[in-house]
Amino acid sequence: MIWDEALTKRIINGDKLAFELCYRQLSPAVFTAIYRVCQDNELSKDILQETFLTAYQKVEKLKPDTNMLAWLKRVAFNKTINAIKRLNKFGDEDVELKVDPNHSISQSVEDERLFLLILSKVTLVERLVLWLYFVEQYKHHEIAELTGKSLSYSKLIISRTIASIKRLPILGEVSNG
Amino acid sequence: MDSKNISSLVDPYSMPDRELERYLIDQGKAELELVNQLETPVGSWQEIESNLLKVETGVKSEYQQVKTKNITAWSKMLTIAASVSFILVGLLSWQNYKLQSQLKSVLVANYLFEEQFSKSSRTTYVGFSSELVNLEKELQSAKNTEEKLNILIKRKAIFEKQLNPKKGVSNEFSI
Repeated sequence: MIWDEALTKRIINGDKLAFELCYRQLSPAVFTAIYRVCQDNELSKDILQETFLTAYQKVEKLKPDTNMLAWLKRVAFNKTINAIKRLNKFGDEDVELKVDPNHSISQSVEDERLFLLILSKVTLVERLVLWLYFVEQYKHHEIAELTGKSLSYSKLIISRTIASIKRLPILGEVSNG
Repeated sequence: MDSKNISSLVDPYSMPDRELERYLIDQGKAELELVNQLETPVGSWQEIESNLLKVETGVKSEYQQVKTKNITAWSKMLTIAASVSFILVGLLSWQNYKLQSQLKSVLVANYLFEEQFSKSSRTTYVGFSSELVNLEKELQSAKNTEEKLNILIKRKAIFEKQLNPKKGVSNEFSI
């Protein structure tokens, strides 16, 4: 994604038009990340709005060479964590990929990528950790810092997810032909 | 986007954990590609824009409220300070006026007694002169009006004693 650094400077100087251009250019990437984690259109829309409102209020703290997309996503993930806390879903849950018997997993496996399939089968908190680790390439200590959990928290979720993939019976059937 | 289904790409049962993790990271990275991005909901920017306006006006009115509150507090404090000063000045002025008028009346009384004394040919009682001299010395060394006033009152009393000696009762010395 090409980002004009001059736009960052204009945003820091309070140029509202530049901020709108920033929204037009970067909001799809931010929204995608939020939606993939939350998997709820209304909640994702609210978080997107909160993200850009907070970003607008804090632009003076930005440096001209800041990676705008990474910064916006970080704000968005913070908002997502706040939403998770509000929803009271920040409990320690065991990762076990949940299989819906009414849904054809084999069809999903054939149509979708494995990663998206996994995301659809885990809880909200686990999705956030998986997204941060596999997509945003956050390190475990960065996830710990963001979520306020211990270093082993994300490690445990990742290892349990990987272990759970191997226990998916239908996936086994598909892969075995 | 890699549209191939996973069954033709990966066999999770036979893949070592580390490799499976690597595979998921690759798929995760693919999620960042532009073609995988979702469209933002329609009307989102309009809502953000209207909220931005609210935030801006909210911040301004909050600032104005704080400013007005500060001004009100300051003006209250100034009013109280001015009132207290006015009362103190009034009280001091009144006390000073009272003292000056007392001093004036005592001085007049002293002059009148002095005049009366100089006209009279009455013999002075023992210690009259020394008392008067002492009081005059005290008067010269007096530091403030109040002190002077007290000395002059004593002086007046000495003259009174000299000019109007206390008469005893008719049978005081009778046998």
